[in-house]
Amino acid sequence: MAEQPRKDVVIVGYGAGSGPASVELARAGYSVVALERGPHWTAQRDFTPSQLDTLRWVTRDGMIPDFDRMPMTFRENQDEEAVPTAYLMSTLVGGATVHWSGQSWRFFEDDFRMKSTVEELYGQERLRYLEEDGASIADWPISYDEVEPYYERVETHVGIGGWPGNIQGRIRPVRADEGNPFEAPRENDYPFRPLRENATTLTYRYGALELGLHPFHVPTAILTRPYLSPYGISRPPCTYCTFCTGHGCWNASKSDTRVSLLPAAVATGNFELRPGCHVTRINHQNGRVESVEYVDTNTGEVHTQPGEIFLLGAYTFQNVRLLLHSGIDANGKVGQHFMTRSSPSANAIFNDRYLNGFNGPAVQRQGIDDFNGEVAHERKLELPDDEFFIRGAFMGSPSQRNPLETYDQVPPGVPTWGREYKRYLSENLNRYIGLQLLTEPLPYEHSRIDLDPNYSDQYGVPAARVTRRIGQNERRMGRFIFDRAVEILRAAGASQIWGSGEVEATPSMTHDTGGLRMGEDPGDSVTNRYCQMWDVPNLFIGGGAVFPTMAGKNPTQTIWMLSYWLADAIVQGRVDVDDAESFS
Amino acid sequence: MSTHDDTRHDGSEWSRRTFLKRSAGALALLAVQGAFRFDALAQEQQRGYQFFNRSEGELLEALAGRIWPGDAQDPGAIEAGAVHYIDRALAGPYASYQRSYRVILHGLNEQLRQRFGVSVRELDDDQLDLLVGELEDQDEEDDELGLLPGRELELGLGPDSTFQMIRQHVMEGVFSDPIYGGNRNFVGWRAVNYPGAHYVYTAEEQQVFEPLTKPYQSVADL
Ligand SMILES: Cc1cc2nc3c(=O)[nH]c(=O)nc-3n(C[C@H](O)[C@H](O)[C@H](O)COP(=O)(O)OP(=O)(O)OC[C@H]3O[C@@H](n4cnc5c(N)ncnc54)[C@H](O)[C@@H]3O)c2cc1C
Ligand code: SF4
Repeated sequence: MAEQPRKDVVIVGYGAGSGPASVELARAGYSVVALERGPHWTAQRDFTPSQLDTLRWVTRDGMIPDFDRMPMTFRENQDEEAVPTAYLMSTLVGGATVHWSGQSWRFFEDDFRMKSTVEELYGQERLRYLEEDGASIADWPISYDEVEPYYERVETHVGIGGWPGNIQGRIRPVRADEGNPFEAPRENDYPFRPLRENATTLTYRYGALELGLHPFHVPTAILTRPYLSPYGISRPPCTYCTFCTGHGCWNASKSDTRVSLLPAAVATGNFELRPGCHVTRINHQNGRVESVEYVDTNTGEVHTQPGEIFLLGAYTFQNVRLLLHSGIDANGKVGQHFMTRSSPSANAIFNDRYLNGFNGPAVQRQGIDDFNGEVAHERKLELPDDEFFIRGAFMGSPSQRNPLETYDQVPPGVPTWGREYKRYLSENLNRYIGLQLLTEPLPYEHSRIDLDPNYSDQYGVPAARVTRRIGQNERRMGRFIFDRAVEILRAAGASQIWGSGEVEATPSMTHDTGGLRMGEDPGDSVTNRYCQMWDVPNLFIGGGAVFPTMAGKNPTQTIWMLSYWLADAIVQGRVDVDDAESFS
Repeated sequence: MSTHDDTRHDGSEWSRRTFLKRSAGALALLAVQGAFRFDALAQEQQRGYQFFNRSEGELLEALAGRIWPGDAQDPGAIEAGAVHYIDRALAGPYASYQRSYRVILHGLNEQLRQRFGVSVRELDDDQLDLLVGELEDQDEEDDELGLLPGRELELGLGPDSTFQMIRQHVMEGVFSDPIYGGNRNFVGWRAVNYPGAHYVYTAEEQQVFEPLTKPYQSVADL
């Protein structure tokens, strides 16, 4: 076993959770190494033009080759035996941000104080059913106001565009009909505008306006003009090629850790990226991580990498697995309060128009937050007890409806093969809208990740075992949101609408968060407010595992934000890497 | 979810029942075809197939032609070369499905021959539809055939049964980029008016509510 030269900072996994910190720490003069198990792909060499191919990248999951190699198991109840399951786990430099969609936003203010908010709005009595279900809702140990500048830094430095909905309390300050009026107040405008409209987004927008809702074009981590970031990285705007979600961008227009952050880290001269290096264990002693052990998959050699500060950014499941496998779980809380989304589905056909939904990246999308968070709390107060729920969902209208991705989208009653099927698809494929309904999942006491006793990977690390079932809140929300979706589609002029408000428990759906909850109490959480592990204070967590609660929104801007946040805490000495309980 | 409509074929319920009766248990027998002899495979490389022998290729082509039907005017899976696509996939990235296809196609061919004394070439469209319908029904009832390789089945990904596997692969052969051997002359994309691989869509192209006219293009054309 070869020991590598010591580094100030050792990063495990190079995706969203580690990107910002890698730049900021290297810029502050720390020597930083990132161990990433996947390869380093580049736009020019690896994606042009091969990326414009749905079969290779989406159908055959060209970017996510890890189904077999990283086993995961799933069960709904803890007395069942878990069975192997599938999950979308990225394996490349930049992590899942390389093949993500790029719908990117800040959480609401009340997402950070979810428990207090719903208690104030609804009172204990109305929330009794949550207790019965074992829901473990909580407040975050940080507030929106504290992290607002970090959210802004993600927008300017990584590259995220949108219409502002709320600048310093002024609602829709730039254009009266654009921007999300329910977004948390921002200090400043976005650095550029979001993607333009297409037939799909215009249709959805019309339906939402008809109902008096507040549609907006979703903020996107996709450039719409040539952009020079404050790091001095310039990239060209999106050409609307449409091979976007599931693909790497051929044009480097889609912002991700690899194109927006990696070059800035490299430019410092303090940063070393080691692709193909798979970390298998965290070595620790007396409450300090000493080194990590990894296999260089290029050579098969095993190495140890010692360091002073460690950042674990290997995605929720691998983060939890690595900690448990390495025996880091002093208070028994590692793996608890895991959350993932189970969403209803709503689809429609518009007989009177073509939408050509294939022609645009998936996040060319209008959406509404009218039923997200507690925006609709007055209406929810009116609901009968057995329909009442807390929180809500973003509801939007994705594009990127290529035939290979949509040929299964036929309403009940239409056969899935034969003449009738072909006639149906020929007439309707380009008249199709399928909504994205981002329902917020709750954390539960019984929802967790631990190590599977039966399955392990090629390095002998046990599989992550997910135990999760959904509660009444998810079911009621699913039905309510589905009904609202139907109303919008109808108002937009849909000829036929189908789908379901019934949701099922899933082990994973790319927004897998919780498991390493941040909190104020070392006895009851895994990290402090700076994502620093209570029991091994020189170990920090990058990624959504630290979220105490989720949101009806995608997680990644918040993951990036927290990475900046924890890096600043280290650089500015707000944390003590020998003692997680003393910080300012 | 079944969306297959029993009564839409000529001869409807009656011929369907007859076929089912005649073939009672026939398809279920597939489950015990495990002792299949690979060495007995015809070595013919019809149509430049890298994997299928002639009778396998014919049978699969017949099924594909009913899943996404067509003719010279309105080309379907056969005209798209969907079986050619599957053949090439099996000879490469989908190698884990090889055995499934061997066993399923061989078994079906044997059943047709032994019980009905016919080869697939002698079946008309209606009879083929019944055969496909039977495969589909069998999926829904019970997929204990155990014919699929572990990967997708265990992980709950992709096709999880015989019919779904064949259907999915046929549709891939219709809608994937022609570089994979299917979708010849873009006939799959033409059927749904999908122009394929383009770097650019303009605002004008995006903001119409009419069918888009853009040249059909493969990633190989870029
Ligand atoms: C198809 C798709 C679309 C998405 N769209 C959106 C969207 O529109 N908006 C949004 O906000 N989010 C989206 N997401 C989710 C988003 O990509 C994730 O939230 C985010 O990437 C998670 O960041 P992370 O750092 O935790 O993990 P990742 O970005 O996945 O990075 C983890 C990295 O760690 C590496 N790694 C894992 N284990 C090891 C090990 N043992 N040793 C070394 N390296 C290791 C992995 O290879 C990987 O590169 C999408 C995800 C997918 C898959
Ligand atoms: S749609 Fe735009 S951002 Fe997405 S891959 Fe194509 S060029 Fe890149």
